[in-house]
Amino acid sequence: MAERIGFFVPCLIDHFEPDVAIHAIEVLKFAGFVVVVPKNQTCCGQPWFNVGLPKLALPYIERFVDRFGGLELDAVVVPSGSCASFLAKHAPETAKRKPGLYKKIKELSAKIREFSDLAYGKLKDVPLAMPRPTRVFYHNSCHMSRELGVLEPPLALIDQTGGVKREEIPLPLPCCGFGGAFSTLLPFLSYRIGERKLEEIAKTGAEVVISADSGCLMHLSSIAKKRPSNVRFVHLASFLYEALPKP
Amino acid sequence: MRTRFSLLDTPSPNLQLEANLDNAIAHYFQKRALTLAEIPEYQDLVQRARKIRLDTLNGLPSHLKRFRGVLEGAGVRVIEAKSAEEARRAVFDIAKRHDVKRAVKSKSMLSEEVCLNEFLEESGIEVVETDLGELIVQLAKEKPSHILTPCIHKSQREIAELFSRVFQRDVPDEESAIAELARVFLREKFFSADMGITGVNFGVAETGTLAFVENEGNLRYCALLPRVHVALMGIERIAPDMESLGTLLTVLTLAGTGQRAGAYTTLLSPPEFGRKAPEQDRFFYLILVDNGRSGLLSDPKRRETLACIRCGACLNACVVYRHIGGHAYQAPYMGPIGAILMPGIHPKGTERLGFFSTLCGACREICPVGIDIPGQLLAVREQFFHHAARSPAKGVRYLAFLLASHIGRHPRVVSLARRLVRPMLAIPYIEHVLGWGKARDLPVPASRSFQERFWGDHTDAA
Repeated sequence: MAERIGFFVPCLIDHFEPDVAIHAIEVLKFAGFVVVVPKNQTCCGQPWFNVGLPKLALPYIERFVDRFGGLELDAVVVPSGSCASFLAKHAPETAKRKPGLYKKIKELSAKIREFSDLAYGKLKDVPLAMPRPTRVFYHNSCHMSRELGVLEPPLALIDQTGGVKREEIPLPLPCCGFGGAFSTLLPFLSYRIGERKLEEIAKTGAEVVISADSGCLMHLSSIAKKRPSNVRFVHLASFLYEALPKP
Repeated sequence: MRTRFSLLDTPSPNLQLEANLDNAIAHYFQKRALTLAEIPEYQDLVQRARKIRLDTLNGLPSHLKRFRGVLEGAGVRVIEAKSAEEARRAVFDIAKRHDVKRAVKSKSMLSEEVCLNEFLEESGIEVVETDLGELIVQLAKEKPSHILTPCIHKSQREIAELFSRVFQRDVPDEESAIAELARVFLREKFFSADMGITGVNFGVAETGTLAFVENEGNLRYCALLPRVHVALMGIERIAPDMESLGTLLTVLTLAGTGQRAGAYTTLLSPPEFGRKAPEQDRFFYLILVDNGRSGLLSDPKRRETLACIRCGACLNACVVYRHIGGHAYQAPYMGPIGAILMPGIHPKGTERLGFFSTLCGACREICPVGIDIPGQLLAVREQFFHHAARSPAKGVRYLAFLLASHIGRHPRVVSLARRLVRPMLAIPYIEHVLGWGKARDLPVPASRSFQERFWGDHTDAA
């Protein structure tokens, strides 16, 4: 029987790049999942947790539990690495501040799967191909790789895609400088870190920057707008959507 | 220190500083990778070192008691300093007692922490830094910008220029010329100094041994040549026994410089101190400095910060440090460890350091004792907001995040806000009002959110 998965829409995707969510759902359906999208979702609460105000994250965790609890889901998919890492790794500990919440979120937390991680299991033998040859750079999300431990699936999915050449930079892991609240509290520094990351990426000759984290992507693309650059910023879900076999 | 974030946040980056840090840190990572490739069991060592440090901290009072007992039993004078003031005063009193005119110092972050140099010099005692990097910083009238590599912010050319100016001669931009000049300059200082001041890497509770790691041999001179040796040690720098010392020293140099061992590892045990007996006119003093550490120790959530062995690796790994350098932190300890240690031992004005991080986790990954630095940073951020009402700068930030959290928790309010913001982005210079956009183009929100598109404009509460 097909796995039933809940789809969590990260707020940056919901309000800034809604197409990414549509693409992610199409990719997941193609992969054979039954996708359930609960109504009236909000942010996961990570911004308040990360800024040092975990109590303000509680209403968000409560809503998440309210929306996704009791749906008999096999997994909850999150198409953004850092939101997934918050829900999987930090939400339960945070929820201990509110009686009764921990038990409910703990159960759901265990079901959280980052999008590429989940998709890879079903797509690894699918003949993906880009319509025209493309040189890409994969930007790794720190939270996704270091906290969730999801590093290989997005690379493998990109590498199996026909017509794609993946470029790398010598020290591939440094952060892009987004850091959520960091980017608002220290905006110029955050900009400069991203700018230098883009300079490194530009040297590789990549035309497309792919990431599975909506925060990094929004940060990097808004910096790129200030610079002469033809690089496109694409969420992994949109990239895969484009690369799916056409009927 | 002011509670200001924008201090280091300027539109024009310091390109020279960035380049200097890049060079030094790239060199560090190359060397580290070469050495670690030969040590497949490195991660096991890290786990062992972590366990040693955490166990030691959990039983610190008894380890300290044992350590002191062994030392005092052998006739070593151990002085406890509760505060920076007490530590400075203790060194000063020793200097006065022994009629010290000139002191030579080997790199000690703890002495920076307690502002020792300034204090002694104001009291008329000359203090000469003898670690090359530290000497460079002293001659430039600056502060260290790195825990291990104090002059990492300077290029070799800048150092040659500094030496040319200070020593009034033409110093070529060559490693050997700079080192030779420093060697000759320092030699005379070592032989004429009345007192040597050093830090301590670890004190071994079981044997009373003090362990020192260095690469230049200057620490040995400081410890052994002058008639008085004063060692400053943080109370948390205890290794329970010689075996755990071995593990800690190994991960210290591997993480700090990518060396299997420091060029010089010096172990001083009580018999050696015995030779510095009063009748021989040789004196040794150990000053155990608390200066806020007990507070961190008694907080189970924050105790882990004290596990730090000061290798400096987290600075090298930190994307923020690599762009702003150590001086931007305006604190004796900088980088990720500075950002979690300073607010613990000296909260006033340092809590903002908790925000000098993107929480990318590179620091935790590289830490040789596995400190959860991002987790500790979150605790510092909580601490920052704990007394938000007492400071306008904190209060304003708290209210902004509180307001945002109230908007964000209702889907309809978020949608409304998005619709209101969209036309506002056309207002000229609006990006200067909104923090995020100061430096970049604001992203334009979608006219319809995903959820509105997916469910139609009028979503029911499902």
